[in-house]
Amino acid sequence: MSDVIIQLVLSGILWGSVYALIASGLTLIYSMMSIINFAHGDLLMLAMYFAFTFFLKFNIDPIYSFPVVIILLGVVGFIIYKILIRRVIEAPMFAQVFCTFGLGVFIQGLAQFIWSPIYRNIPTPVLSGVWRIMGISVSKSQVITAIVAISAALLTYIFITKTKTGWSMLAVSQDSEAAALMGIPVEKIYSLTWILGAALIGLAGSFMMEFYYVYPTVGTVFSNIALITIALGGFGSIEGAFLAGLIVGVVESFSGFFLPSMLKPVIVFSLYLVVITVRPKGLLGRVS
Amino acid sequence: MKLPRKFTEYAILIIIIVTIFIVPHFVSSFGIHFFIILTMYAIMAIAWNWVGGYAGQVSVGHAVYFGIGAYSTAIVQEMFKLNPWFGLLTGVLVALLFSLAVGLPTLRLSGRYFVISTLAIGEIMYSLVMGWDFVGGGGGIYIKKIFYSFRSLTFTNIISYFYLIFAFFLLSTVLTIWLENSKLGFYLRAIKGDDEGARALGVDLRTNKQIALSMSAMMTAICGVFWVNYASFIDPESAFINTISVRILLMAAVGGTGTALGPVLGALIIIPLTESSRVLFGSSGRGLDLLIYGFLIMIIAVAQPRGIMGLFNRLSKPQKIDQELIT
Amino acid sequence: MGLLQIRELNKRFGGVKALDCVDLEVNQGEIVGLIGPNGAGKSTLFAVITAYLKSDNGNVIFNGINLQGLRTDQIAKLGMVRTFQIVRPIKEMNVRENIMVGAFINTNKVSLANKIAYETLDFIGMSEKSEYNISALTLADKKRLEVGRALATSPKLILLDEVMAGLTPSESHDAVKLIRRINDELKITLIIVEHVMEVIMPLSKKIVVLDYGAKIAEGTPHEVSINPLVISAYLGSFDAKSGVKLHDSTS
Repeated sequence: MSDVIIQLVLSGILWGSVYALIASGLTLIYSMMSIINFAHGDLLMLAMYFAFTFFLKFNIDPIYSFPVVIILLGVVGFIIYKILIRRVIEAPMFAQVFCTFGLGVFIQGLAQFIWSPIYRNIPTPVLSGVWRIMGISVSKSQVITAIVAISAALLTYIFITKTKTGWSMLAVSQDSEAAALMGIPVEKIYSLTWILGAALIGLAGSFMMEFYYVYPTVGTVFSNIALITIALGGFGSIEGAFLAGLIVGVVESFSGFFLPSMLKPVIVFSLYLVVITVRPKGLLGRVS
Repeated sequence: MKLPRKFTEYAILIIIIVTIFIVPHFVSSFGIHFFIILTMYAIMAIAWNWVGGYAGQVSVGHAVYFGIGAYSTAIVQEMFKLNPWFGLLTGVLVALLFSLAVGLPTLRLSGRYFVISTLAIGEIMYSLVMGWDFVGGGGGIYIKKIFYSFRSLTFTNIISYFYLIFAFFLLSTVLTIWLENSKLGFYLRAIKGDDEGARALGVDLRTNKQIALSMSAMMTAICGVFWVNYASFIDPESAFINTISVRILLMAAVGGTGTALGPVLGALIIIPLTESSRVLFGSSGRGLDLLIYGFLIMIIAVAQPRGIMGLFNRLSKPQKIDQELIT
Repeated sequence: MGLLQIRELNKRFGGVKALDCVDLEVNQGEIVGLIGPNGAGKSTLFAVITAYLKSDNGNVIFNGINLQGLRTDQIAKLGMVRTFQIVRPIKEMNVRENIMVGAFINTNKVSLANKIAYETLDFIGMSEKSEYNISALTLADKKRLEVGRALATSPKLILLDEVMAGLTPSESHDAVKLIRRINDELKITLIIVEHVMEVIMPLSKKIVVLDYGAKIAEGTPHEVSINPLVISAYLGSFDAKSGVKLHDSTS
């Protein structure tokens, strides 16, 4: 029995770290400009398709193509910010919500147009097979992905808290007007945020292509989980999002084992409702 | 001085309502079907607006109330063989109870946490019904039509269905106009504008938000009840899927939230767009409908974040200030 | 018989005592001035009395009713309302509609709320601005509107939080006149937080001084102004706030 529990915790953490990585891009963007990007999962889907396309056209596995996918997503993030988000930054929250909804629908339409609605995966990923350690088996691809995810989230955290650019970002997130008066180029910081947020998603999408399949609406599932994750962690808290990602992963893994898989989302989303009832600002939310 | 703008708005609304009533008498049965969908979605956008527009409590999971109405009535009618009118009553009642249960923990949350909670509730209900074998799981429920009469809410001619949904459309519009001009309406707008400030003036935040949510839930559930009896079939995909929630949200957003006319205008734009682009491009499976749909939403969000009604207000505002300067 | 009795009210924020065992009694018809250096706990006191913040312990009795466990809106219905230091009009509504929100406390009828709003506008001298958008108002007007919204609830006691901050001398003068009229004509009791001493001293019969959350003095304006504790509290804060300047002048 304890074996089962260890197995469940481990696979929960593996998935949880992926959720944490996906959520880190979302929470970064939220922390900086208070915009909840409902199209976040659709960016993930786009990243997965990019990785898939490199495999399909040039037979390059995602673990080699991921730097290019990251750059591509960074460019996409930059374009989205410049063309769209910049124009709704002062708009009411509601307009931002439906604007990013529209963006999501648009990206889904684009994906369906380019890649068709068929489910795709990479039949022979480099990272295949499992590792067995003391009776516990874990998929190689997921272990590598988890390591990558945790390192990326850590690097982002270090970047924000330890570098000069990171400090500028923190200053902008505290008070953009004051930051502008201090000579911080707010506009550039915002662009950078979107590039970075999208790049993190690019990384997540590349590695997920090793063990997951892609279709035009795959993003919705991950959007919802990412949104729950950052709300659960507390809006604006990067550490909270990471912690919540792991919690969601573990909870999902346990409920998937003890309950019909259909009910997995019920438990995960109920978890949010329960936590939010006790702590209306999430686990590590800033009390304003 | 306030009157003329509202008056124009209500006048346009009445013209639209009359047009929606007249046109179906001159079109094919497919045309009537379109008008039924249009009217039904207009009701849901109107109902969403009560809680999302006036009270500012943005719901991105409003399909749950549609689904709850649909499923409650389907269970009552098909499993317990009761009269559809009883199904209607049950649907509305269950929606009321559900909205109370949901409102209790979520309505005290601040904006963004509330938004995410509506998303969570939507996902929970979808998965629960998917996994609930008693109501057919993913397979859904078929409603056998035996009698065709007003008493059993089933009709042989499609126009009667239109009359039925149109009656609810009228009801929801009348309720909106009442709301706008009532204490509740003032309180909701005050809560949306500044809830902390409203509290100081004696506004009970929880109760007022709850009334708006429950009203909205019941009206949306009525649409679900209607849909089951009209389509004779309901499954999780057609009841709880978040595409419906998104569509409701977008109609209100595109038209303009917090106004009587906005949601109806939104329905007039979004429903023809989704229906026709699905007919024109949807069959290709290439997602052109989604591209156009998404593109349009982004354009509106950027160009007119307060919806079409924002344009309306902008046109009428300078006039008002001039008047003030003169007097 | 006191209209408002506050007994041993305590409020901590972490390790900081925002309110330290505050006692206060306000009688019907009084204007009480509440003063103290920045961060003395004046706004916290208002927030605790009107249930925006929960006190750690202590009692607030208003009009014979213990307010323990009541919500802000219920307290407002009992007849005690506050205004905010930073005005909070509802931008989506015009001036009259803003006041109507307050007026609805005692009626469900829109026509009656409208009537009360017009009467209130007349009283505060903003009748001609009844249909103005909030964005078209000056700060003085916004502050006046804030008072008007409170008045429309027909309260017994109004807590005014710095209604004169940021106003020009002549605007302040008008505000003082309005406060006097509220007290004289409407018989409404007032507690006023204010920084400008010249304004509050002649206006109130009783002054209460807070420092570091504790009441350090209470009495007539004259008594308070010669109280050594008060003088040192104000000098202390003056010293701390503009220490550099002080240093410059002495050197």
